[in-house]
Amino acid sequence: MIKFILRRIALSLPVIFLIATTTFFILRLAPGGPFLSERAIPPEIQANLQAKYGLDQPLWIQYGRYLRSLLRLDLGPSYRYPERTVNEIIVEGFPVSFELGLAALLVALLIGVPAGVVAAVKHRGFLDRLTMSVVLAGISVPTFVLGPLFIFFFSLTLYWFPPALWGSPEQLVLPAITLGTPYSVYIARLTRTEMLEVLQQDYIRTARAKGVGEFRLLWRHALNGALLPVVSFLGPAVADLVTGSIVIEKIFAIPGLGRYFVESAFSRDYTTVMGTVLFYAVLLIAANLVVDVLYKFLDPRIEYR
Amino acid sequence: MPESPVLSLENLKTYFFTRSGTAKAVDGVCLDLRKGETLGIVGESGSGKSVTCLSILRLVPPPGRIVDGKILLEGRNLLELSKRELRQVRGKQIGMVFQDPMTSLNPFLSIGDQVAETLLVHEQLSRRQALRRAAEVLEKVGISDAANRLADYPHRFSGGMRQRVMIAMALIGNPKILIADEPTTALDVTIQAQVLELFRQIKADFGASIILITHNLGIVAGMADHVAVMYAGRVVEYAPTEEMFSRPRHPYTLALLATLPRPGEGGNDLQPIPGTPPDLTRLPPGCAFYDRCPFHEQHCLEEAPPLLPVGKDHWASCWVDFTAGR
Amino acid sequence: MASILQTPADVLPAALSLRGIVYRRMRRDPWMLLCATVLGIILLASLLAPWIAPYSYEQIDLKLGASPPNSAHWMGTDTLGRDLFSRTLYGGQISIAVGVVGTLVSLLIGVLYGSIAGYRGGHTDEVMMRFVDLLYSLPYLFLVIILLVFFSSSILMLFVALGLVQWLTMARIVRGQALSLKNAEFVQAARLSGTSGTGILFRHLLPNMLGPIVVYATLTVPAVILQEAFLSFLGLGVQPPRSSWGTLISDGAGVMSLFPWLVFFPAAILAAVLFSLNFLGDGLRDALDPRLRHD
Ligand SMILES: Nc1ncnc2c1ncn2[C@@H]1O[C@H](COP(=O)(O)OP(=O)(O)OP(=O)(O)O)[C@@H](O)[C@H]1O
Ligand SMILES: [Mg+2]
Repeated sequence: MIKFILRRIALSLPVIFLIATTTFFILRLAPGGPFLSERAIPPEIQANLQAKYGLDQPLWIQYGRYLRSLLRLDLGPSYRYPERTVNEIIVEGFPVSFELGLAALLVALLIGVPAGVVAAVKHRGFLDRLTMSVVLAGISVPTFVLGPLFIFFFSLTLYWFPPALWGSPEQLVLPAITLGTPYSVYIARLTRTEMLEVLQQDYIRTARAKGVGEFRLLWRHALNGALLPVVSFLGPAVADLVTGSIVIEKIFAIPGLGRYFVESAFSRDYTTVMGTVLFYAVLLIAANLVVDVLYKFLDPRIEYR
Repeated sequence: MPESPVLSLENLKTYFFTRSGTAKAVDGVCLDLRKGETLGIVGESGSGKSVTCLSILRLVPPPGRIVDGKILLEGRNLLELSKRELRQVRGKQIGMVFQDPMTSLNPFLSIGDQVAETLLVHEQLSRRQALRRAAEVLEKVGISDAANRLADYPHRFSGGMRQRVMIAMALIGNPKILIADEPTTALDVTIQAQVLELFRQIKADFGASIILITHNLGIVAGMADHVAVMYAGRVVEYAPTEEMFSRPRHPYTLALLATLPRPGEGGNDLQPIPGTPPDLTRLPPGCAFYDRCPFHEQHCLEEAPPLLPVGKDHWASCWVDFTAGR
Repeated sequence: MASILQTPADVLPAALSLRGIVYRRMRRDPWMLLCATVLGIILLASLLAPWIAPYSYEQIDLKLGASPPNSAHWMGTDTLGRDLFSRTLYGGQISIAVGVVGTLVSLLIGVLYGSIAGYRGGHTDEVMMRFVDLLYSLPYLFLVIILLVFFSSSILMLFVALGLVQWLTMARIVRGQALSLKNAEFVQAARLSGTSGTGILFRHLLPNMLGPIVVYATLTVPAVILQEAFLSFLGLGVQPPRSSWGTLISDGAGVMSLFPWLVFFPAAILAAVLFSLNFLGDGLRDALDPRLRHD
């Protein structure tokens, strides 16, 4: 088990290096720069700034310096907020995004799995058709329509939840549901397909022949097998949630990392962009590792090596 | 049929309603299983043996449905039970061993949990007690060191051992009836012998009545007290084993026996007999065996023969008595 | 977003006669027919926008301002007094184009990559698919955003960037198909008779993988449209005065409580298109999937 995890970590180091390198060169190859943009800054100051951050050096020296600081886990100063480092920005923004993402994932699972199971059990029945239509409708409405819609109804009309900002649990509800809905819908669909498949298995018939009741049959015998694909979906889902949160954070004015990323991209804040991308890459690799470990835990057929 | 059997099927009909037509997989089966006896069911592939068994526990998968008949367990018609009552019968009164031990065990649950589950569902037992019983039964069916293997998952077990687990699972509830659908087909020959020995022992120890489905006439000869021969969804002959082997009364049984190799030549599996079985979605109005029957007469084409007594405790469904001339 | 809100990879079934299946499904399922019709109408209307649209998409009428639906502007006008109906029609052109071209880009890469991996098999396959797994776990859209911000957010860039996001699943599906097809008799025969690798690919593998590919492409188009809308919402989509459904919705969402029709109409149309495409794709997949055909 430990060995498996260590090996995976070792394998992901080159990936992280590759991402660091790619983002670095893409950014440098792009026209323009953090201090060369539209803003009318006097040339001397511009040159000064360039020198201060080493942007006047040859590319490979900059690259070398960047890698060295990466080894110290130092993502460098932010160009946009000179008084802050990228590390500080991440430490500040990430917990917010993390909380939002986790809540959304929870929403997705809590709605998606039961809906999928119900649809499968009532296969071709009314409830199946209903859930699956809702599911398709859910996939077809973009979150940035859903978000404002929720705000409109639940905040501005019903006054149930605050429409924006961050900090209190009530403020988490709407963004988490908005972000989680597409995934709940997807998970419902996946769960249904897999559940239908599992329910046709011989071992389900064996359980029935033992006199096992319907509830126990689903819960003890069918769910585990049906959830395995859902679990492996969670890896890419986290990646997707992360990107999705960019929009949600914008709609609900949440001070999360996604918003920093977009803002820093627009203002060509190289270090922050690189730092966030790199951070997210590490996060996703970690998330995938967790998912794989969970998968092995759920599937006894896979033995630890 | 004489005496009061533990289980009797009366005119059981199970049809599959498929897009290409209604397949009459079981079409009026009548059978008796007597207390403490073993009933062998033979018949070629697709003759409806498995569907008959599944029907008994009402486990027929859609698009199949039991459309008619009675399944009497000690006089109680299983087809009239509520779902709840039915669950009381499954596992507790009737245990079932399925054909393929590789797919019939849940890969995600430990052996112990699966075997013990029957008890947990039917009896007021703690998990600990149930597991202890499970270990005992597993030991009894020949899993050595069972107590330490309870936590293992099925993939760690060989085919033969899984079949033993299946059997333990069916036995643990102490059922009156054990239904085994080709319990040895998926196993190699030495293991087959062991499993069969196990069945003999079970019959002695547990006093259960057994329905044994098989392709192997040797097994039937060695194990069964009565034999039922099925063809195209019907029982075409039913007799005590010895009687069946010495005085078959249905041409199909005769053909089956004719394919048996002499003793010592090995391999008692059913050999194909000439011709093809009929399409179950388009059964003829007359006898389903007509095309392949060497004795057929005009009358056979017009009316399907019912199962009629032809001797003591011996029933056959054939218009022609081909033994008459001898 | 929604790059993975799609089919579970690798579950697409073996190739069958595609046209026959589509035809049979359509006849049996009136909902699919309805979806196809709705889709057809919206598509046609968008394509014919220059002739149908009552106004041009950039014709500003500040005096008018945002007015609710009326007889002259039956979807209303936006804050600059532009006719929403016309803008939605023209926006459709862009959204559909992005969806289709993005899908084609993903098809091109995914099919080539997947069929090479599957057909070669063995070590090549392993390495290539590992790479795909790896990319799967990357924050893809971040790279797309970087590309769009730092280079240019031209439509061309949009096409390429979105196609780049989508090819992974396609590659997986095609690879699975190729893997199972390559041992088929007719492929073996072709190989024995000396047909080259590319020849086998184009003459034997591709035609037989068409079913799953078409199904997945049907599901990719809405995903790409949704992604374009997502990028538009961040201000990275098509630039004004041009519009796509995404930009219209994102503009409308901002003023939803004041002028709800500005978000309602484009969102409804987008939802209808996405729903129809997903429904059709789903139905086709079910029809093609032997696991789901019980009767
Ligand atoms: N799920 C199903 N759907 C449609 N028809 C079925 C189904 N299961 C069984 N049948 C029909 O029932 C007939 C009898 O099947 P059954 O499994 O009982 O045969 P069997 O005698 O057990 O054969 P075997 O010796 O091969 O196990 C089959 O020929 C088939 O036509
Ligand atoms: Mg059978």
